Amino acid sequence: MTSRSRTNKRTLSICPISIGFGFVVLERSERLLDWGLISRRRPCVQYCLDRTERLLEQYQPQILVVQAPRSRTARCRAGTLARSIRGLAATHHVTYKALSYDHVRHRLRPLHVKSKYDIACVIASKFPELAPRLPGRRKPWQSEASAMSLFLALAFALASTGPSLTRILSTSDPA
Amino acid sequence: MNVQGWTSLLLCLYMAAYKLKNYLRMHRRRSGLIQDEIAYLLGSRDGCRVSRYERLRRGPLLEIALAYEVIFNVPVSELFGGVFAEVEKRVIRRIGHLGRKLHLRMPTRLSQRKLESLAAALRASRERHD
Repeated sequence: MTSRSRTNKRTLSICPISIGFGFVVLERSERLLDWGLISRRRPCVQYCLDRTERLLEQYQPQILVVQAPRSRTARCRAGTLARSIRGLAATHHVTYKALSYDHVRHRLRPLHVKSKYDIACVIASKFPELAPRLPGRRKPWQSEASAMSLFLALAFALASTGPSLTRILSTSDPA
Repeated sequence: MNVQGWTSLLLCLYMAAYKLKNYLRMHRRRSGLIQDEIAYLLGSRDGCRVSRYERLRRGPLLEIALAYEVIFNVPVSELFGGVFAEVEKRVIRRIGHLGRKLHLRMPTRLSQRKLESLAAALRASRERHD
């Protein structure tokens, strides 16, 4: 009766990018409540924090997942944002989790995914509402599509839940 | 219903309270429709009203809620899951109080029928959470 599948635990997952961040809100690791890309021409950490706070107030998640910065002393905006969001999570009494991309890729190894595009394809098959946002396969001279942050945010959200990530994504039925 | 049954039902209702007030935005985004298109289907001029419903700034009228059920093919109780959970919690408590009052009275055929109706309501609520 009190198993995880019965609680409506909500997870807000954020993937910072250069122009803002991608976010998803997941309920019970199977129900995608909301997703989007927050971007601005010249984004600043405070703007991203304000938008994150708005999401926290709107959806009142129990868990906040952020892509961990590459190093503890990372001075890039994404690293600063990740650290600032930690303080925001503490203010709103939300469990904070920072996951690295390598961690997610390691957990998806049984599905033989090699790149972010492969991860995005697997997620798009499980969550068809995201399929229209799937970017094309990146060419070597291209920079990463900002929409990829949506799929990465969802991958982080799924990786932070209890059930096996590969079990969630390997079932053929869409969510 | 025994004490254990009551406790488990109230626990389920408490867990259901974690639901969002409504899931209108989720269903709209899944359908791919924009707010202006939903507004047209609801008979409104623009998407501002739809935005207010989604952001919980205003609760929709019964007709609008039923129109949402037609558009998304999802029952109103699921579309407004959080609100339904709160209402269900209050009503279940009152069912318990009324059931105890009826038990204390002289049993008649009418009071038996009332108790059976209340028990059926409790069973249905339990099945929803099982």
